[in-house]
Formats: sequence, C-alpha cells, structure tokens
Amino acid sequence: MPTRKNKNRRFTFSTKKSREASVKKHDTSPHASTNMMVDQPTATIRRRAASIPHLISRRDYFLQLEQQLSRLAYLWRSVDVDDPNEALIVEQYQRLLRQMVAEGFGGPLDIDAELPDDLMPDEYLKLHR
Amino acid sequence: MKTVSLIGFREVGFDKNSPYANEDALIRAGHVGVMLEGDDAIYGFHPTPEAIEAEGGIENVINKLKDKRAAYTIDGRVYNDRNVFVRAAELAELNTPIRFASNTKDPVEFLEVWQFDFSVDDEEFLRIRDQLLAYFEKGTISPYAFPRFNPTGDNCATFPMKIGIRVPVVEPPGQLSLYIPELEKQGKRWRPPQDMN
Repeated sequence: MPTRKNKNRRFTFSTKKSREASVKKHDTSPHASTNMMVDQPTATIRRRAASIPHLISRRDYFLQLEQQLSRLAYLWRSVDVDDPNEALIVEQYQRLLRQMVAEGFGGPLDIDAELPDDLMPDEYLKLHR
Repeated sequence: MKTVSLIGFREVGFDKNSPYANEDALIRAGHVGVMLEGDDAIYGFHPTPEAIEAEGGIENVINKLKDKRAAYTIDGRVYNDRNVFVRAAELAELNTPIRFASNTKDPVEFLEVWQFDFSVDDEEFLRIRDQLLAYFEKGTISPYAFPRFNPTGDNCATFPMKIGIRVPVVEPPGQLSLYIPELEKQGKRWRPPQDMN
C-alpha cells in the first residue's frame, strides 16, 4: 500500500535528476563549487529561497489540466449535437488528455469530466476500462 | 447565527480492477452533502437505487449521464448519506490513493473529505432547513443529471443551490474536479466526531 508523505497532499515526484540536484544542494564540500549558494549565510539562503515562487507540485499541475478537461466536458454537454464547435471541443479534449497521459497522468478523471467512451482517447481507456 | 456545512470528496474511480470496486457507488463516484448545525445527518442528492436498478446498474447510468446524445436524466432524491461520508473518512485515514501516475502507477493524490462551513442568520437557516427536510422527508423525486449550461437536472454539487445554499463559486458550477478543490481551499478536513461513529 502506498503511503502518504505529508498531510498537505502536495506531492512531487522524485526523479534521478532531482535526487542528484538535491544531493548537490546539500554538499558543502570544497568540491561542490557548482552550487552558488553553499558558502552564503543560512539566513541569506533562506531569504532568497523565500523569494523564489514555489514550484507547482505534480498533483496541482495535473489538477489544473483535469479542471481544463472538466470545463471541456461541461462545454461538450452544453452545445447542441449539430453545433459546429462540437468537433473542436472533442479535438481539444482528446489532445489535452493524450498529452497528460504522455506526461504521466494516470487518472482516473472524475466521471463528470469524462466524455462518452467512444470519444475518449485509447491511451486513457487502456488505463481504466 | 447558525452554521451550514458542505462536505465533499473526490471519487476513487470505477476501474473494475480497483481494490475499491466493491465500495458504495457514491464512494467510487465522489459526492457532496449538506450538514446543518444541530443535525447529525449529511444530506446528499443522488439517483435512487430503484432507478439505478431499472437501468441495469450504476455503470450504465454513468455512461448515459456522460452522453448528452442520450438527453438523459434519472430520478434522484435526497438521502441521509452520513454513512457514505464516514466511510470516505475511514478510507482517507487509510491513505487511499485516488490518482495515479500513468507510467509508475505511483499515487499522485489521496482521498480526503473536505468541509466548508458558512454562517447564516436564523431566518435563512430555518428556510434552508425547511426546504431540505421537505425534500428529504417527503422523498421528493427530482431529475439528476451531470452539469451543463442549460441543466436538465441537478447533481450532488448543484442541488444545494436549488434550496438556496450559497455554494463556493466555481465555473462551471457543479463539476467535481473544480468543486472539491474549492472546498479544500476554503474549508478544512472533515472527520466524524468520535462519539458519533
């Protein structure tokens, strides 16, 4: 069973690159010259770090895209069957969801954010049907 | 002044291979309910079991609700769904993942139940309570449908607006992937009081 890492449900995925970066950040050896901040006083580092906008978490990144899909699903349900924009909505929806799956979104989407199965991309259906 | 609360959580999903496939359909679909000060019940609007059975099961209902081409609504009514929210809170305590990474299957998000409180004056509270209890006690049937611009019915998240409850403003209204994060942003985690489990 996977475990939750913190109570705030803000999750970032650790990659090899980010782990290496993390190790480098904490390396205060004389050879750690690539880290420009290591020789500065802690207070300065903290002040500078606080001024950097927080990186968006993976959960929030995908949530924003999920919400975009949700709006498109709502829009699709709202337009008439013969509306000329309908095909465009479906195209945008499918393109965005394919991109999300390729970037690592495994879903599932909320049911009201889904289109009928015949309009959902295969890449998503393979994960969930 | 009295408090009215909206309680909600996102779905664990309908995957057939999910360890949660045997959970209540509302756990699998996500849900929103209304709680009134001084009342243990959590009132939720959703399709009636009889209507779901007549359609051949919840999967058939959901497929039709998603598809505007079916121009579909299903009978819905107000129930006391407290047990559903208590179960959702139990699953939240068990670190139940609800979103996954497509490649690694690692969890990206976990189930959580959120509570958003707002205060109303006594007069408004009585009006909301009377309307809600009228739906609940009379078993009034209303059309249930997924949100759309010209709605043909309500879902669990838009129903509270029907009885004059001021819900968090999200656009478009009633879509759970917008609504529940708004409860999270404006509200707090919900857990049942220990002596009421």
